[in-house]
Formats: sequence, C-alpha cells, structure tokens
Amino acid sequence: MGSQGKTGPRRSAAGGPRATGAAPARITKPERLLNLVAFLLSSRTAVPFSLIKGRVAGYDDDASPEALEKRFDRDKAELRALGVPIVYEAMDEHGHDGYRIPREQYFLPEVHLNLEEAAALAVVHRYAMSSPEDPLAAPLRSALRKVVVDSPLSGAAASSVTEQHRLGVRTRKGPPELAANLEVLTDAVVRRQAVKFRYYSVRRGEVGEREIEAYGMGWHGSTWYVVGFDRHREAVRQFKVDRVRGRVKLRAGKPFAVPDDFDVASYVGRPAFQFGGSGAEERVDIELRPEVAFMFSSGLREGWTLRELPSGGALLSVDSDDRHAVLRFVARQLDRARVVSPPDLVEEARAKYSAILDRHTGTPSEAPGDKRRSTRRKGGSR
Amino acid sequence: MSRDPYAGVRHALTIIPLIQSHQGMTLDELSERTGLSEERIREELTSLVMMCGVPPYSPNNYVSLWIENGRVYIRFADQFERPVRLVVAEALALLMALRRLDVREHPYRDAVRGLREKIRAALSPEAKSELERAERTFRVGAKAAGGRITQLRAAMSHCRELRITYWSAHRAATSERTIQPYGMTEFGGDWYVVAHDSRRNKVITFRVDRIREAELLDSEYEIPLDFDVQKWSDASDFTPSPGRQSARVLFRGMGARYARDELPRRDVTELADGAVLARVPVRSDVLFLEWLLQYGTDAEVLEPPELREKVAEACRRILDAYDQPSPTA
Repeated sequence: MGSQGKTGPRRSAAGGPRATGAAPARITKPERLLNLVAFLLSSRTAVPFSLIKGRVAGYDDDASPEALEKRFDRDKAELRALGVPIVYEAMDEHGHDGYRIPREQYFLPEVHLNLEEAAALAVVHRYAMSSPEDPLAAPLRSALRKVVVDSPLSGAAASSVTEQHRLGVRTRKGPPELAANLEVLTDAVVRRQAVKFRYYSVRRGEVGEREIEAYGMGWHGSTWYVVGFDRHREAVRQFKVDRVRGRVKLRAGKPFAVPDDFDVASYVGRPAFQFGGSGAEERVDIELRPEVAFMFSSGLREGWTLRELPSGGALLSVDSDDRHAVLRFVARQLDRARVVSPPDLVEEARAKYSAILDRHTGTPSEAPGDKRRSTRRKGGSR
Repeated sequence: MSRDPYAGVRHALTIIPLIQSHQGMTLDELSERTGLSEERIREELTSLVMMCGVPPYSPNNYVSLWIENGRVYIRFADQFERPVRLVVAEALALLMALRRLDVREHPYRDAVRGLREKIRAALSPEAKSELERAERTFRVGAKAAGGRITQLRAAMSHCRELRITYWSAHRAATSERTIQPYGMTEFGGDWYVVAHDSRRNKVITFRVDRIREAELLDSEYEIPLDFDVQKWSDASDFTPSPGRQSARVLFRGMGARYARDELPRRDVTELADGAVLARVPVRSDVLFLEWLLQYGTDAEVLEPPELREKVAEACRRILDAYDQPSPTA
C-alpha cells in the first residue's frame, strides 16, 4: 500500500538528487502510478515508451526491458480501471507518437451545484460514511470525493443540513461472510463476471452448487438479492444473498452479455404472488378495511388496481400465480383484509383459518421428540 | 477501504485538485469534505503525494505541500487541475444513493433530478451508455412515502405544528395527535418523520405512509438545537422493543424450513420429522399475530395459553369478516 510512514528525503529517477550517493529506496507501486499520471498529464505531446523508461520514477530501475514493458502494460490497465484514460497515438505530423492522457477526457467537467443539490449530496455523504453494509458504499465515497470539489457548501454547513435528513440501509443480520459476498457480487454485476456459490434453497430444503451470470442486484425488505442466469438450470433466477453458504467465488472468463430488456426491478421487490409461482395466473380481489386502505394507494405496482368502496374501504385487484403467497399477504392484515374472489380461493382461505382455529383450540399438540435431547423440562409442556 | 490497493492513488487524484482549488482550506474542512480522517490525510500526503514528481525531478518538479496553522497549501501540482472523471461504478453508486431521495414530494426531489442530469453529463460517452445498462441492474430505494410529505415539509420549514391521523401498526388502531416534526429519515426502506408527539410528550418516529390525514396548524414550535436525526438509527427507534414475553411455537412442514431460515439459530430446536420448536419474542400481540398467521397451519403456538387464545380469537374475527356479504356481490 505504499504507506509505511516514509517521511524521509525524496527519491528520484536518474538525474535528481540521487547524486548524493544514498542508495535509492524502492519506489512503491502507488508512487509509480501517480508519477506516470503526473508525467503524462504534464506532457503536451504523445510520449513513446522509450522516453518513459529510464526517466519516470518507478521505470528507472535495472529490470530487463521486457519486464519494464510488462510493468507498463499492467500499470496502464490498472490506471484505466481507476478512470485514467491513457491512449496510444500514432505518429502525428510533427513525428510524435506514443502515450498521452487527453486532459479533456481525464478531467471531471465542472459540476455546477446549487445549494439544494449540494445539500442533497451532503445527506448522501453522511449516509456513505455510516453505512459500511451497503455494497456500493466504497464507490459512493470515492465518487463524492470527486464531486465535492465543486460544492458551494462548506463541510460545516453540509453537516448542519444533515441534521434534518437521514438515509439508512438496514440489512438483516446475516452470516459473517455476507459483507464480503455482497462486495464480490457487486463487482461481478458491474464487470459482468460469472460467479459460483453454494446456496440454501428453502423450497428444496437443501444446499446446492450454483453458477450464475449475475445480471443485477436489489435490496428489498432489508435483504439483498442477486438476480442472474443460472447456468445449470438455464433460466433467470433470484437468490437471497444471505442464503449463500460460504464465499462467493468469481469465475474467470469473458464478460457475459446481459439481455437488453433486463430490468432488475421486474424481479426484486415484486410481491411473491406475482413471481415464481407454479400455479396458473389468475385475478384476485382483496377487500381492504377503511382504516388501512389508504396505505395501499401509494404503493400500487404495475397491474394492480385499487377501487374505492362505499364502505370507505377499497378493493385491491392483483394478478397472481401463487395462491399460497396471496394468502400469506392477506394474513399479514389479520381481519383488515379478506379475499373476495375467485370463490374457490375464498373457500381455501376460510378452510385455512378454520384449521388454524382448530389447532389453537383445546390442548396444544405434543411436540415431536427433540432430535438432540430426549426430553426437555424447560417450558414444561405437560 | 483498506483492502483496496489503489486507495492511496484514488485519494491523491482527488485530494490534490481539491486543495489546489481551495488553497488554504483547513485540514478539518479537507477531512469533512473527503470523509477521510486527518491522520489518514496526513499520512497519504507525506507518503504518496509529496513523492509525486516529473522528470528531471529537481525540487520544483515535485508536488510541494505544506500545512501552516492547520491550513493546507499546495504548489507544483498544476497538472492535476481537476479530479479524474467518475468511473461507472462511482456514478452508479451516486445515482443509486440519490434514488433513495427521489420520493414524491421529498424536499430534495428537484435537487436529485438536477443532480442526476449533471452526473450523467460529467461522464464520457462510453461511460454514459455503460451506466444506462448498469442502472437497470441495481435496485435500491425506499418505497414510495405516500402519505403527507407536503405538509411535513411545510411544517418543518416553517416550524408549525401538524395534527395527524395516524395508523399505529403495533396496536392496530388509528389515533389523532399533534406533532412537531424535527427531521426525516429512512429505515429499512420506509420513510419516517422524527417528531415530538403531544400525546406521549416525547420525541418518537412515525412512518410517513401510515399518516392518513394531516393538517397544518398555526401554532409554532422550535427544533431543539442539539437535535440530530443521524442519531435515530437504531432498530429500537422504529420498532417496539421485544417485551419480556415470548412464545413457544411449533413449526411443521414447509413452515419449519422458513422458520429455520428466518429465526436466529439459538432460538430454534430441531425436532423429529423435520419440525422445529422455536422461542419467539413478542413485540406486540398484533405484530406477533400478523407474523404468525403468514405460516398458516404450519405454525402452532404451544405457550403461553393466553397467546394461544389470542390466535384463536384472531381466527374467529377473520372468519367473521369472511361471513360478511361480499362488496362485489
């Protein structure tokens, strides 16, 4: 990392104060990269590699010409990943050819921010600093560092703005490797690299190996999801990241292609009854009581309709291919919602509540034997 | 982050132009703006930035940097006039974070829309199309806040009280109260207003989409000087804390699989036949019932008896509702 606390005299390439006779310390990679950028930015014309090697600090040691060239190739690639556009230019009319960093491509154009915009960025900044669990927090922090150069708000003013507005991600507690997995997955999505992981499927009740082309990620209900093409099942599937067992591994290979019409929002955040069910699609009507009906009006999804009823309540109509999921959704509303159509689903709901009522009437069931201990006194069920 | 081997280079490429365009800014301000600690800045400046130069590396070819009375100055760094452009991942992260503020009637909504255009305009053409694709691959964002943001906004900027009709989820009841909004915050994907509540005479959170009606009053209030919404970030600020009561619940079949996935491992005991027995904290009866009934017939409360009775009672009420004539009939 090049930060071993060296505060001593400067080192330099040939021709500099090295003449003092002190042995040159090794130039670290960050120093070399920064020197290369400084050199190319300050050159008016394209510079051939022959003028870089032997002159720019970090390319002036006694490594073989091939090794130096390889080093330069790696550095170019790494700098490009950092956003530094290094271009090769063929010979111009003055006979110059070589590498150049076009300033107009390198510099962040001026971003004129008004006070409101600067304030909104300040809120985002506070969020970035306090949300390490967001897999995009690291690139967010580095983006903000660049953009603040033009901010009309001083640090102090910005922090007073944030006293009234706060953003926050809250992720469900997951396995210890969750943060690392989110980072790898984010990277995989941005770079379009396939990944491999072991995944616990609740429906199957087992852990299995998955290899997917991660098309996208989304956050919903305090949990992160990854959506991608499952290479073995040959279909797009959705995975809950906290059900991944162990580490997610990046697969080497060419970037995969994402279908043009892919939109992660059509997977993540869709209610379960509209996605992944195995039943036939049907229209379901749900009656909502007046005291809760208003809450549904702002969260209407595509294909849902909400009709006001004379009672003050409302009729919510949705398409579903998963009856269990519909019943779960309605159950969360207790007696504030009920299914009114189709009729056989109404009967299913009735039967379900009658069965739950039976379960909770009279003496409780005997729990089947504890797998690990034969009896358990605590709690004393009879 | 510390795992990023290029953090130093990244920082240098943004800190140098920042100091360059704000010569004499305080170290404190530099730290505020960059989100890096003063220590970290000092270390990076001396270990990396001051090592940066161009051939022939005579003293004037090195970036020269000094701190005087807590203020930072820089020389010989003219080539680093501006920060390096945003890369796609950075622009994406910015847009995603801003998307969370893009809520109907949120005070910053216009600013967010303006910013979005400016960020796109600051990208190279290739990055722009790459970003468009990437934008469709991430979904974050709070749910629509709905409710009454306009009035909340007015109340906050003029410090005028609001009378609201509020649906309290954990009591499953509607109530009227007068509130003094202090700040807005997002938690678990939902928007909340942090406000002083006249009924309970304390500062609490209200979920914005549960405010059914709101009326701006003439009475004014003051936001305490030491109020900072950033401090409202703990789960207990938003959900009733678990009471001392807990339930013993038996889960069977598919319900057992979901319970195993959802509940902390230490609270779950594996039984024969794939069933599980779980100890579940009860935050409020209503919240517990809403959660339990999702499991349908796969869940049975074994203890305490009062809670068993409450489940039975909830089922009776729901069955009653089903006996009412259908509104569409």
